[in-house]
Amino acid sequence: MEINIRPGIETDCDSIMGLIKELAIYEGMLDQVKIDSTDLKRDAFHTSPPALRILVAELTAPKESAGSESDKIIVGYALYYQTYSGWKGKALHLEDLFVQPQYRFKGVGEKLLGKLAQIALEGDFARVSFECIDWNDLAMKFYRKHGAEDVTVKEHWHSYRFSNEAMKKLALEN
Amino acid sequence: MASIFESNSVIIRNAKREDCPAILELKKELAAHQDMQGLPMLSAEDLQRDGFDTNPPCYQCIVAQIPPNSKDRSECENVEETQQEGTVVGYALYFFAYAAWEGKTVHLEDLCVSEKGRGRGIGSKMLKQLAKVAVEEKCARIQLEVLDSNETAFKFYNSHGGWNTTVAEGWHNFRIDKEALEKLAAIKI
Repeated sequence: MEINIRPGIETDCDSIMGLIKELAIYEGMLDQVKIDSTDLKRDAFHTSPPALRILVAELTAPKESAGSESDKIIVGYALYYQTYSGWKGKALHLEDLFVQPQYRFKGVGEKLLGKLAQIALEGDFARVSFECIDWNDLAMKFYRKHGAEDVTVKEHWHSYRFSNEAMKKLALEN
Repeated sequence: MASIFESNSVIIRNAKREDCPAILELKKELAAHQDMQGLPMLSAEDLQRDGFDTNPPCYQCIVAQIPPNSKDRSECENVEETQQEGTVVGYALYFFAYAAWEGKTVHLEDLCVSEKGRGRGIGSKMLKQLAKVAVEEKCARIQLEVLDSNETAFKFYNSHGGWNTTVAEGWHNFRIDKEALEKLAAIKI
């Protein structure tokens, strides 16, 4: 199985959106996906600076016969963006990392994370952060295996959110 | 974008390069409150480079300024005079982030009001200004992290409509630091 990890391009967005929805289904939250591939194309490729960056894991299926074209399909992706730590300076946040179930346990996720680590080091980013939901044992095990630390458990950081509705209410009170 | 909020004693405005030393001093106060004093932190020069000398800037920041020596603002002849003479007593450092299911968001990295500035609703004013920015920039939500020992922060954010997604939904924050990144980067890709 030949896997190529590369930056996502605009024409990948339809496939990536399909995989984003697969991840949402896996987490039981498909109804919470509010964006579509048009939004993804605009935000990643037509905004300056880009609101997010994408890596894809592209599988090249073996040729069926001599002279035929190889099929390339995207079987995994990572979405990430630049952040700023008041302590450490610029850093990266991994928003999503997903590999289709039929391609798991073959090192694809590890390659995506490894590529992101290279990008972080080359760009002099202090660290990579991400969130993981506590029931996702598979993901937690994967990330811990690669040196990630749970700072909710270790340092007691909690995630907070102001929903769109709460945010608009605050803005009107301004 | 030049959003300015003024009340009779507080100005909320975009941070300027020359505010960075004051922001750093407030950061040190915040660190003490989080029991993190003494840990190495960025310098004022780092903040200036990253916020004002880099294109695009690595972060955005608003500050809260009060007139000096508790002087009534009405004694200042104009806003510029007030801005030149005032004291920065609070800041909110943020950047634009992205939620895979909702699009662009705002991440509030630090919000701090010094002892000197408390009791004037400054934290609330800065949060509301941030919300206004988020709406103007068509962001889906505001997100942040809070230390679970920080009862004051919990009460503040809860009272303004925030909710704890770690407790409510089980989200944990993870970090991969330099040493682990170096091991990962060595993986054959």
